[in-house]
Amino acid sequence: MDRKLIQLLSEIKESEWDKLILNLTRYAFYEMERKYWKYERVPKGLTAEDIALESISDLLEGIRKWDYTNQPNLLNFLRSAVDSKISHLFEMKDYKLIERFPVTEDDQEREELMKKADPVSEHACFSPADPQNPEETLIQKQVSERDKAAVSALFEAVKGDDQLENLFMLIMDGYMKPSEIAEEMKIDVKEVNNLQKRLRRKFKKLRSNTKPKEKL
Amino acid sequence: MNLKDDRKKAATDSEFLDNLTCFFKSFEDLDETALKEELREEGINPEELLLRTKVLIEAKLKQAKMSWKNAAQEKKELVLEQLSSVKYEIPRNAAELRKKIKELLNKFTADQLPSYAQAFYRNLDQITDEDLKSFYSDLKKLEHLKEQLKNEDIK
Repeated sequence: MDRKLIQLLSEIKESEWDKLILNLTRYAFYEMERKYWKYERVPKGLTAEDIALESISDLLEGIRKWDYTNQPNLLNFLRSAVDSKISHLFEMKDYKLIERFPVTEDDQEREELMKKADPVSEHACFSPADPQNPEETLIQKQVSERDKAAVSALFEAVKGDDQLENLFMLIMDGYMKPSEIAEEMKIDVKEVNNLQKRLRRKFKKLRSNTKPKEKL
Repeated sequence: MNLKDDRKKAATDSEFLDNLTCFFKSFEDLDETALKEELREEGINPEELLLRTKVLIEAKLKQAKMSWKNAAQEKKELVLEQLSSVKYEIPRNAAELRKKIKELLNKFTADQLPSYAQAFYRNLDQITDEDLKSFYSDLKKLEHLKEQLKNEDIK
């Protein structure tokens, strides 16, 4: 880490760090929840808090470089780090295959290649998008069926609640930011936050009935 | 460009759940209390999380500062060592020495190093021979440092 970055990070107030970590963990939590739903498996022992803290640790150790000049928003930088970590955890099913090769202490070249390579196109035996891969096709089919069931259950859960039904339609149309939704629904952002909370609780209830059991 | 054109309409159930996840991840106007309450609802202890983070940040920043200080100290020592080993000949003749000094100062000012401009206009005739030698030595060391920096930039 360069001196300017150390100074920049040292100047962040404790209260700002607090808000940042709470936001980041919240972000990691929902991203992981979506993956649990999709893949029905969870990375052993790792929680949203662990992912958020690991991302901060990578920043402070200089493992992941923050381009603070061109991307000054630290939270956005850390969110992309969280995205990358979670994708890595859930989608690199071929990772173990690579690890079967003997690893020596001085195997620097291999390690460097591992860091640079695209986990999907350069490591996977079959690309997940490859329609010729029967295993992937089956997985995709199962995911689609699970998602279909989840969406039906969610629509059922909000039935009769005009506001939540409207919110669903907006989300379907690609509205995801509370301020945009507030504008469309002609309500305050705080009200959208309350709707979000109500929806989360319904979703949580649904999740608890279909929580994935399998662990990676 | 119309922002609404960028919206990702959900064509499938999976895309709808992706959009829903993005909505859950989005936040605006959420204060710390609301964030903590939300995390608690999801089974995360925010106080414990903040304590863990505080310990981690303090330790890692301290470590980073130490590493930087050590690296800076090492670099300083290396530069001092290099400067002490810079080889140059000091002309014995005072007129020759003045000429060499002027050449170096010209070189520095030509490279747009304004701090040397002031020295350029100093009346070298009024400086004692010993001071001239010392001045020349300093300029030679600066020349060496400048070359080093240029080489580092190229790398």
